[in-house]
Parts: sequence; structure tokens; C-alpha cells
Amino acid sequence: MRRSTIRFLVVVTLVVALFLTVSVTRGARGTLSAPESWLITGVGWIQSLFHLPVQSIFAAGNKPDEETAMMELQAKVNQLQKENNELKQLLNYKKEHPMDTIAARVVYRSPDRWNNRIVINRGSIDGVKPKMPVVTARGLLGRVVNVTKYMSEIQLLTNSDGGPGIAAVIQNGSEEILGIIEGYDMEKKCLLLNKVPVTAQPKKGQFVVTSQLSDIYPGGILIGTVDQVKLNEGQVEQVVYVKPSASFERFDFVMVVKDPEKLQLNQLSEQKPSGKGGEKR
Amino acid sequence: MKKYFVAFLSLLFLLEGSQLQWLLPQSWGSPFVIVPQLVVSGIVAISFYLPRRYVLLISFVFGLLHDIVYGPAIGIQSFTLPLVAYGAYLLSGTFSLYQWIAGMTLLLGQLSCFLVTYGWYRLFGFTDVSFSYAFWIHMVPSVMFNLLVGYPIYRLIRWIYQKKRTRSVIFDTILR
Repeated sequence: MRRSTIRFLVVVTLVVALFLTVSVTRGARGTLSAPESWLITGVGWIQSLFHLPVQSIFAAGNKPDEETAMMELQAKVNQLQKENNELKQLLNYKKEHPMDTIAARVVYRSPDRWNNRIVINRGSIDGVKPKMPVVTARGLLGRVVNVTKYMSEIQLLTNSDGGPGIAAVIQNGSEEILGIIEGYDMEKKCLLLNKVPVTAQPKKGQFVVTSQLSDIYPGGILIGTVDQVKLNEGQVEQVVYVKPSASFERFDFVMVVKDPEKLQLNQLSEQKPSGKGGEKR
Repeated sequence: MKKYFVAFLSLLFLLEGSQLQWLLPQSWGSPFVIVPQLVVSGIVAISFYLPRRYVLLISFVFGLLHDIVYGPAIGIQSFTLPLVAYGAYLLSGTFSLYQWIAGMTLLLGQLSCFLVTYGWYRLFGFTDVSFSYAFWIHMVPSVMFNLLVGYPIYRLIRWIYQKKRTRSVIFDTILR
């Protein structure tokens, strides 16, 4: 064969391989294969090591005189205060909503903003399971997609590849308007609440929380506030733009919510298909 | 020399995900988004000095690492990075290596890496950001940032190359 033919075949094979690997490994897989989880755990561990020292270096420069020592202390105090505040906020949150949670620290996040994935330092050994919701003190952040033994990957709400939408309700006085959160408008920095009936009249500033009907999320977790209401293209439903209450840029501590009811539901739905298969045979 | 390059690239790889994130404008509330691609800068710089097979191998390994650790699915960066590295290798081999040629190669490498990655993400449905928004708000600031940061990376890679090359020549001629 000519050299150019071989090269062409190699390129075609590589593209086919790309499509294959992407379609096999994309999305929420629950648990990862062993080499992947070793790599994620290893990289996460190294990054959590230089989490603390670098922040104080940036805060205080590197001259070891009195002034910088002062600054260093000040930076440390600031950092501790910030940490303390964040943890306290988390505790308050816990009191308001008596849910069982696992507190965790963010180890790293993906550098590009076209897919939003963060990794936290708690894994299956601490009781984290796939599909568990993740919150900060200010509101819902996302959900666990993949779990390794010591780390777990979280998909933020801003991800458009978020799989099935989230059932959510707008708290409109005494009544509740049901909708489904699907997708994120990056230009307006708003989540999209679809399938809201035309008869409903949500107003700006009303709270949007997760619905009790969702099979993943426990009800009543704050998502955000109503920002804008529009008719969709077919003029049969409304699209509500929801300003998320949690910040998707700056977070250090997060909490993984353990809701016993939803966990049982998940287990049941996982067992169902295999049980059916057994009956057929 | 290769192992020093790989060690340096690993350091850049770790910086991308953790500490750099706190210094970038998006975490301070700016609408512009800067995506650090330090490893791409490093790999473009490496492609000036290493033979083709090592460039491809190292860029593939780092692409795969990026996919597993940061990416949404395996295959995207491990395809894109060797492509960009090969392009940079061909381009730098065509011209003699002045600094501005290196700069242009770096610019083209960064831009093509962003464009190809965005293309794959759109194709596979990982993102639905419109192209003009992604280009003006994400890519242009990121390419400028990566050019600025890429210059010291290029100088460091060159420094490692010159150091290690002369030492290995001495080792080859005198010690052996």
C-alpha cells in the first residue's frame, strides 16, 4: 500500500476510535473503572496537598520581614474567618433543613467552562452514592455522577448534558407551579424552567425549589428565584428563567445530601429490571 | 531531557485545575471567562525540540489524562492534543525558529485547540453555548491569557532543552 493510503486509514481509524470511546464513556456511569478511579484519586490527592500553602503564598508575598509576617497572619485570619463563616452557614442550613449530609471539600474543577465538573474529597467509603444531590449554604449546586472510593465527581446544574431534568416548583403564594429545569443559558446566567403551563403567572423574585415528586432530589431545596417569563416557540408553554441562588464560581465546601427515601427509591428502580429478567426465564 | 519535560508538563497540568482557578476573572464575577490551557502551551513548545514520535506520544498521554481527570468523556482531548501538537511540529519544522514564529505557532495552536475542542463538545452535545458567544467571551480572552503565560513556559522549556542537551553531549563525548 502507498504511504498516503496508510496515513489516511490511520486517521480514519483514530476518528472512529474517538467516536467509540466518547459514546462508551460519556454521561453518568455511577462507578468508574479501576485505572480511572486511581488517576482521579491520585490527582485529587496531590491537588488537595497544595491547596493550603499556595493560598497563603499569594496572600503574603515572600519577604520574611515583620510587615509580611503581619500580612501573612492577617491572610491566615481572613482565611480562617472565611472558613469559619462558611462552615457556620452550613450548620445553620443543617438546622433549618434536618437532612443527613456529608460535608466535603472541593479538590479541583475542570478548567474549561463548557463542561462543568468538580471533584470532592469524599467517596463511596464515606457513604456517597451516585445521583445524590449536592448543596452549598446558598442552594442546590448539582448532583453526584461518578463515585470512586475516596473522591466523587459532581455535575453542576449549569451543565446542559445533565441527563433528565429536575422537577421543580415555583412557590406562588399558596399554590405551587410545577416545571422542569432543563439547561442553562450561559449568556443570561439563568437556569431554564420548562413546561410551565400558560395559565400560571409566576412573578419576578418568587422562589423556585426542588419538587417532592423528583426521584432524585428531596423536596424543598432552594434552587433560585424567578427572573423572567417567556412563552416558548409553540406558544403552548412558558419558559421561566431562574436566577440560581448558589454561586457556580466560588465554592470551597459543599454538602452531599443523604435522603433515605430517595435512596430506597433508587435502589428499587435499580433492582426492578433484573427482577423482571428473572421472571421471564 | 524527556523526563524533565514530562515533569514540567505534569506540574502545569495540576496548576490548571486547582490553584489557577482562584485567580481567574470568572471567579471574581467577570463576564469574561479565561480557560487556562497551560499544557497545550507546553506541548506546542515541546514540539519544537523533540522528534515526532515523542511529541505525539507525550501529547496523547496528557490528552488522555485530561480526559479522565477533567473531561466529560474519554477521547476528546486525547485526539485534539496530538493533532495540535503535530500541526505545531510541522509548522515549526517549516520555518527557522525565531521567537515571533514560536509566538505565532503558539497562538495558532491555542486557537485551533479551543476551536476543535468546542467543535467536539457541540457535536457530542456536551455544551449548547452559541459559537459567537463562545468565541468572543471564552476563546479570545483565553487565547490572549494563554499567549502571555505561554511565553515563560516556552522560555522554561527552551532552558530545560539547552541545559539538558549540552549536558548529554558532554556525557556522550567525555564520560563515555
